[in-house]
Amino acid sequence: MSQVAVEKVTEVAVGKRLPKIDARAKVTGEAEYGLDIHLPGQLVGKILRSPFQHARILKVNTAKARALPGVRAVITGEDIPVRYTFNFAEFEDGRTTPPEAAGGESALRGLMPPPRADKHPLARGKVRFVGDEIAAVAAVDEDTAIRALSLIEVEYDPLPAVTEIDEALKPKAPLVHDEIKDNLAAHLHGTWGDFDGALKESDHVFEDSFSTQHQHQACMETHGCICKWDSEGNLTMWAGVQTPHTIRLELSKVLDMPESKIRLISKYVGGAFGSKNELEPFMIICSQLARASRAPVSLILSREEEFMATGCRHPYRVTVRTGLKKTGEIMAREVKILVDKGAYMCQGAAVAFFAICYPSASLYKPKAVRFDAKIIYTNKQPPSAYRGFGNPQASFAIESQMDMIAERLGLDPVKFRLLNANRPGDITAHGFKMPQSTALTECIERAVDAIGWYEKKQHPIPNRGLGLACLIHSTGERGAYGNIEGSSCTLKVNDDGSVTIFAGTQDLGTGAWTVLAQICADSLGVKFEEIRVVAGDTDLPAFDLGAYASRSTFTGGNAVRIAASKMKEDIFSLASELLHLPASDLDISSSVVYSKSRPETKVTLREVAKYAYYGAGKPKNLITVGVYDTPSTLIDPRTGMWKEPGPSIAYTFACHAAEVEVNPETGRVKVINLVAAHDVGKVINPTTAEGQIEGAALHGLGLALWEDMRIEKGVTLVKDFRDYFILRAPDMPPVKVIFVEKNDPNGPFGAKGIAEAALVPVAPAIANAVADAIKARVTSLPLTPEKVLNTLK
Amino acid sequence: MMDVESTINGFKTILKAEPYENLRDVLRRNGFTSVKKGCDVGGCGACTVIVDDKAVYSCCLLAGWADGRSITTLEGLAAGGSIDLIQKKFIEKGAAQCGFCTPGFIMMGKYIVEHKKNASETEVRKALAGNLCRCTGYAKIVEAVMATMQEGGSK
Repeated sequence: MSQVAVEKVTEVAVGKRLPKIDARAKVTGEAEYGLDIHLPGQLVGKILRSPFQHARILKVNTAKARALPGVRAVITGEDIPVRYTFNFAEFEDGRTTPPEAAGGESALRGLMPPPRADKHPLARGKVRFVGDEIAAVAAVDEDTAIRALSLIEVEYDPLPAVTEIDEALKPKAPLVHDEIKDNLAAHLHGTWGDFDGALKESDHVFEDSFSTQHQHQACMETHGCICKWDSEGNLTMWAGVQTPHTIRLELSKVLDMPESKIRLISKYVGGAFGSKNELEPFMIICSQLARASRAPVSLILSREEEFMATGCRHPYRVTVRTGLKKTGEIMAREVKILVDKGAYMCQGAAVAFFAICYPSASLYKPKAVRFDAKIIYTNKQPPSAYRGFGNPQASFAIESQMDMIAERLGLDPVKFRLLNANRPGDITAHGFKMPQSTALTECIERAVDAIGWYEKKQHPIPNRGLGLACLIHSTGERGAYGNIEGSSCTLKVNDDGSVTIFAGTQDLGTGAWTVLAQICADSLGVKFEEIRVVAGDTDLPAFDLGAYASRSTFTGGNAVRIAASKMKEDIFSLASELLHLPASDLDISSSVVYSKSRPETKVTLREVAKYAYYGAGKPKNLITVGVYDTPSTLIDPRTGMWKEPGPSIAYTFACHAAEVEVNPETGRVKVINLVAAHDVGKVINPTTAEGQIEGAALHGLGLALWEDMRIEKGVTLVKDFRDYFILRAPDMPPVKVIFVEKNDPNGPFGAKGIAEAALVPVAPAIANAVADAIKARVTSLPLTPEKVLNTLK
Repeated sequence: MMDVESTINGFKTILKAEPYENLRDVLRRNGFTSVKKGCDVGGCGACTVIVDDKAVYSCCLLAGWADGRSITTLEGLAAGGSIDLIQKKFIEKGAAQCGFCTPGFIMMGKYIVEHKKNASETEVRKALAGNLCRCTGYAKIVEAVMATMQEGGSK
């Protein structure tokens, strides 16, 4: 645990709408993404995928493919050793998923089976979903690679498939994994607090059920990577990912080689949203194709492969039971979740546990919580992490039910939420302590005010409705990997006085690198324009777990502050020699070091740097390291609860309010206005922070209204953007962003996370507004015209 | 392989292309990598370029069709070192997040500011409907195009 030196600094760059430091590369097309990389001798890799939901592989004959001129390598599951079988949660030394952390004599013991590797990079024995990887080729060009795939002969023995969770749970259901006799990939269950007691004290108990759909991240850049081996057995992989270090950690385990022999370079990422934060089969396949062909191989998925075989959001069926006092005070909440896991585990258990810990156990602080989540294998493509990480599904259920309860009890939905709102210092049933920056009450008040809630309620317009929904989310999440929630960077003042930040932090387009530069500018007293960020490479002198859990500004920013604080000491020490003044009399601003007592006595940082590198007469440089770990906590194995403050140090809150109009003839929902009030702590860059909220609204509205991968009988029907509708420019309603800036005591300049949070409340706010408009409730997402119309009738 | 004689970003160029190849893939192979591949069916707009004063999806056109025509890609906008006004506005407004769709949006935006000079925000949004962005929610892209128009169009 590290402490950030709290010092008073002038905010020159922080809080300003500064242009993103990589914006010029992006508007000129210079920014190089995976598909733009072309190495000498580079081959094209392609994957043969299963056409069956479930089938035994009897034989794979690659002879004809190998004989095709231009083919350099063909590999099948038999060419990749069994020990290459992997899973996100497998690596016990690098990662502690909830049950492992609980371990021992825990109240959560038996919460889920020990993590098991369930995915082989290329199927061995059988295939488990349409799109499962079977074989792969590397060839001189794409046409040859595609032709080679068509020459691979696979003999299948089709097996009965189980594609729906109800079927999968039946006693004699076909088994997705032969060794898992009930198709139950994981079962998380437990209680926090005196649940039965809290229920007894309740005057009302309500139970309601909800469901959500498959939603795809639909990044504009599809997944892909380029692999190259050198003659000493070092592997370089170029891939646009969220988590270079931890993907390398996983890959090193699978390939059984030291981490340092793998270099992962990830400069520009063409969208991620959770989909690029774990090791993927295609990465292992590409590495093996490159090894077999002794040439660099580029393996970029097509849009169709992207939709059929990568990521996506887990569909949930959620039943919420809530016990309340007559006054509306929430006493107890029970959440039962059924997760359609598809064929492989990926991050299924972690996502469900997040849905339990955050919206279920934390929002409106029920005094006791009971949970039961069944994560069920089916013969479908496996979902994994997607912006919000289980929170959107569970929040849709909980926030929909809040309005249903308000209506049943005749409560005002605004006052009902204000009564139960989390407040600074509150401790939840499982031990999460709400930070001093908690501003849920203010978020509700400002969202309600901005949408004109009470005026509009007094003058209702036919077919129009208002709805709101709240959110709790994390800033970083301890326990995702080992016992750390940290980041590091190296700072270098160059010999011309400019500054380079070597950062572990990834930038997925969010503006994280710009934010680091802004934090550095004001922490160090240098000009923003003189700071460069070098990142996205595991060979840099920096470490970071990755860009997930809305953590980059907080953890990366604090690492920069620490490095800058050390750098200032070094600068003042050298400047004091140059100015013949005590270091304690010195300060720095706009890259000029000056005397506090006699401000006209000064020296530029450039001069200090020149002196350091060339004139000091002794070995000296201006390089410092910043290491930060949040003072967050792991679950306590004896109690099954967290010690304060829990896995995040800076929980964030929001309230969204929506106004919709429903066409009673067609059932079509038009969003008139969306207001998003967020407690984000100090806003480092309003432009990029707004961009996060506006962009998250697009995903949230898609989840609410349209997006659905339409996986029928295990077959993903959407293949491209003609089938899968994401909102286009004319479809977006106005999004009013409100920042409730209540500085967090631990955040860099008071900042907290934002990226995921903004997606979560959109769908429940829209659902509540639709219910208000049509005076009836649709309990399943998306709110298609068909469902709305059927509910109206 | 056949020869396709086009003017690309102001320079007469001979592209080698198979008769069945699309313009996007041929442009990319010749180093115009701002022309992005987001799909293959004209579904995302990431490959938008301007051909003879029309903004087109280069993935949906055969390379041979470009014979005798004039093509502008994003690389052509920053010729001579200084960037175009619309590029400046994309930077200023924060219109690029991950940046992958940005080349397509700038090319479409350039077409809009040159050919629909007095377009309203609604019309600009409609004109941008063929380009997808998953990061921004479009607000800042629309702002950037509107600002370019208000400051007198391109350059």
